Amino acid sequence: MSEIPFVNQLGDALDAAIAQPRRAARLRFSRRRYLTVALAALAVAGGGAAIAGMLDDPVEIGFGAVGCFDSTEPDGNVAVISDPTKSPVELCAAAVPNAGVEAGDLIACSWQGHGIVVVLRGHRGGCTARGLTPVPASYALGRRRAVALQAVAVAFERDAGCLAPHEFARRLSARLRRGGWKRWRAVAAGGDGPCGRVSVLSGSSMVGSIGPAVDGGNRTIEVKGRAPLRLELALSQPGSPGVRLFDASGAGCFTVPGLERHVRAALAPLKMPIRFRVTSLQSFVGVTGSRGDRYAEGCAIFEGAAAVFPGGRTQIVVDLGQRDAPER
Amino acid sequence: VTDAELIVASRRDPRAFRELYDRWADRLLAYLYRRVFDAEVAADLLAETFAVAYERRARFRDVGKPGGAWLYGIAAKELSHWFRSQEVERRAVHRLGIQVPELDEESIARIEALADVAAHRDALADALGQISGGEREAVELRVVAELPYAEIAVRLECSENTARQRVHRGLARLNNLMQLEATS
Repeated sequence: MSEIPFVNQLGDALDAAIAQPRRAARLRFSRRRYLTVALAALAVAGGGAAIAGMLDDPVEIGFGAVGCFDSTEPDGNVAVISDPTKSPVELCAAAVPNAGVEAGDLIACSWQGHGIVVVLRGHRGGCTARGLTPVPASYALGRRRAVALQAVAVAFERDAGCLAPHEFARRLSARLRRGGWKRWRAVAAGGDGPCGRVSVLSGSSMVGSIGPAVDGGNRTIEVKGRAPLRLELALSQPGSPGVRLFDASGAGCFTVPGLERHVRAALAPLKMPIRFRVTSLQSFVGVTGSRGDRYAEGCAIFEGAAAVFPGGRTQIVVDLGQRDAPER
Repeated sequence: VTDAELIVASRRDPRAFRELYDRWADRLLAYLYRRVFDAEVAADLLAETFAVAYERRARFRDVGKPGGAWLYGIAAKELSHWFRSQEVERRAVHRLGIQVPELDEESIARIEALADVAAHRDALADALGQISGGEREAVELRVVAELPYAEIAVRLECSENTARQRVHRGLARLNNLMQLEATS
């Protein structure tokens, strides 16, 4: 509780709004968990995201969020996605592959003050009939520029290895200038990890997206100190050791030492120190499927792995869950 | 439970998000107020910050950084937008349907006490000497004399909207100056 009445009232208002299922719900994805996680990584908050119709810089327009609605109006459940490599319709059709929705069923429009939205075509006619406007021509230009800029940055990151953030920013700025992006530069922007990075891993194939790092207004790309790219891929890319461990921990009943040995063996090729945290999951954390069954039986399950940097050294922290362990 | 764990847990359970809110709301409100010197603007920015955080919680990746830094990052972006446009973004608040409560006098007084405004007014007075006359006068009337925008407009013989713009531009410059001072 705060001593400021407004803060408590706002907290209650936030609770009430979140509790409304129409607002809080997202389109349901019935894919494997790793794919769901990958798609979730694509979700961006439209409030802070680039809203295509309201920005001047073409690149920022291209990285703008797209709202995918599951009705013929921009109302009801929505998934907010940003990926300039796909058209809004392709993006939304791909986001709900099991919902029986195909690209031809969808129509993209511009919603004044909200950006690009995709709705079911139905029998409502075009955008104008819904009180919306067609997608502006500037959006296509913005997407092309965004894709081109992203390609330069992601290719550089892939080939750079682990450069310190300032050095990464200096070299990427030079690469941008040579590539014709003369008004753009990369700037180091903090981060605890040893390697300069600009992309976040997103999408079912974990492609690199630089949208969150781009400031179109200042024409800068933020470089943050993070884990090496190869390490992040090894922990979260589909088919990677990290994702396989996640699925495998429900296949049998592991003791904690047994699962630790299993994890160490699976992650040994990464040649990184590994630290384990074993906790019971809080009551509101649900575990589904075979992992949930194993957890209920008292077996240890793999919760996740991430890179941390104590004392500047990269280390993998692996979270294991077991019912009888101390609560996290 | 760490902030990062709460953010991750909030993807499944809203109670975790409320706990995160309770941990950070006061500190973020003080942070915002120290930069805009307007309790109503700070309150609106706080609401939008948490609305954006709620919508973005699926994007959060626990890479060992404090979860609070993630919230400050969102707040800083909202502040940046406000300095550029003189408007608080409310898109996420609207999308979530949050009914932002009215700011009462008691809350305003407590926010000012929390933000330790008196100490910051001294630093502000020093920085005021470094900005242009028109903006300085507008900022002084707003921050030092605590006049409402309507009265500032009368004193400056301009529209209320122009008065707001002068205050906001002046505050943006002051914010930069004070950040430079803090890092020098």
